Amino acid sequence: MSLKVGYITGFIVVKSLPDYDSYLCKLLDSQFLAQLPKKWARKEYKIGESDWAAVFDMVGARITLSQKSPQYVRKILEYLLMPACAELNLKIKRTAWVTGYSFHKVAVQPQNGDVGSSRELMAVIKPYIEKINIKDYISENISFVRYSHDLKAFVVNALCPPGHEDKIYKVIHHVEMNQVDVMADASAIPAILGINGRNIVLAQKLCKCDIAVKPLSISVFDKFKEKY
Amino acid sequence: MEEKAAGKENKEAQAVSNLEKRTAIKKRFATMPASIVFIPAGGRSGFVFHKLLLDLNKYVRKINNSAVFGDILEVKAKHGRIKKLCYETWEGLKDIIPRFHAFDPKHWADINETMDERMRLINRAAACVINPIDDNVAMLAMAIKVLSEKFNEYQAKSDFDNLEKIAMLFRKIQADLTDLMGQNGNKQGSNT
Repeated sequence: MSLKVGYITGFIVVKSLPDYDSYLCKLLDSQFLAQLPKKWARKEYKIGESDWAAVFDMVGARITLSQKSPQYVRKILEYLLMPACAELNLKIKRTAWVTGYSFHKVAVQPQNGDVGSSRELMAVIKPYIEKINIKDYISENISFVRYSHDLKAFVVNALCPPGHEDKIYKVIHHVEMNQVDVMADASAIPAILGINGRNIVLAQKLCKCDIAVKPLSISVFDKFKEKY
Repeated sequence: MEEKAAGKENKEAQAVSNLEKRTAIKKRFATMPASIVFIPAGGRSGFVFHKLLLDLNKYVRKINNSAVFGDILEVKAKHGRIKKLCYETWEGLKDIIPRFHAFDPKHWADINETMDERMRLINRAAACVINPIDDNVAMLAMAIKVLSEKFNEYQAKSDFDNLEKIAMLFRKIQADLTDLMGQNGNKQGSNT
C-alpha cells in the first residue's frame, strides 16, 4: 500500500488518546498507526469503527489524518460526483475551508461553456447531489463555485451566492497587489460578507487573493460612470 | 539512596542506548531491497515468529551450503517441504482473508512496502525486520505480516471468531516450522 500526503485511506479506530485529543487509528491493509485529531474528525468515533480520511501530514513515524482537509473534500467529492463529472464534463479545481466554518467552498470548472455562474452550476449539480448523501462523508455544507481563469469573474462567482451578481457594479483587479476590489450596492454588502465575514474569508482562500468589498449606491455609480 | 538512584539512572541510560542500537540495526536491514518489516501480533509473545523466520533463514542457508558435498536429492526434498509449508500457510490465509483469493504468493514483493514506508514503520519499537534468503522464506514472512495486520484489525473490532481462526493458523505455523527445523536438533524459535 502506497501512502502519501493527500491520499485517501481507510482506518479503524483502535483507541482514544485523550492526551493528544485525538484518535489512534490503524490504517486498513497496512500496519501503520495514525492519529486523527478530534477537531478534524467528521464525528465522534467509537473504538472499532472504521471510516475514510486523507493523510494530512507525515513527520517521521507520525502520520496525521484529517477528514476536513482540502484533499479529503476534493477526493471524496470527485468520488461521489463521478457520474456528474463524467456526464457534465466537470472538473473539481480547488477547495477552501477555515476551521470552525460550517461550509466548504469548492471551485468546479465546467469544460462545456453552458454554465455561466455559480447558481447555474448549483442547479446543474443538484439532481446528482440529491441521489447521494454527502453528510455521510463530509459534515459541513458544500458551496459550489464556478471556476474561471479570469480572476475577476472567479471572485464574483466565489462571492455569489450568497451575494447577487446584478448588485455588483464593478470589479477591479490590482495585479501588483494581488487584490480585487468589488464595488457592490450597499444593500448587498451583508450577503456578500456573510456571517462574521466568513464568505469573504473563504472566497479569499479559494481565489488566493485579497478581496476588498466597497459599498456603492447606484446614483454614485452612475455619476462615476459619467465622469470616467 | 543516592547509589540506588544512580544505579536506576544508569539502567535507564543503558536501556535507551540498547534501544538506539537495536533501531540502528533494524534500519540497516530495512534499507535492503527485499527486506520485510512487520509488527508481530500478540505483543511480546509474537516475537517468536521473528525468531522462527530468522532460524528458517539460517536453516535454508545451511541446506544450500550442504548441497556442495551432500545429497542433492535430500536438499531438494527439504526445500520441497518448506515450499509445501509456505503454500499451506497461504491457503489457510486465503480462507481467512478472501481478498487474497487470486493472489499468487510468489508475487509477495507486490504487496511489500516501499523503502520510505519501511523506514517509517521501523521507528516503532515493536517492528521486526527480516531479510529473506529466498522466495520461500519471503512468502512465509509476508504471510505472517498479513496475518498480524489482520489480527490487529480484528482485535480493534473485537471480532473474536476471526481472531480465533488467525490464532489457530499462527499456532499451526509455529508448530510446523518448529517441526521442520527441529527434526535434526533442538527446538527452534522459542523464547523460553
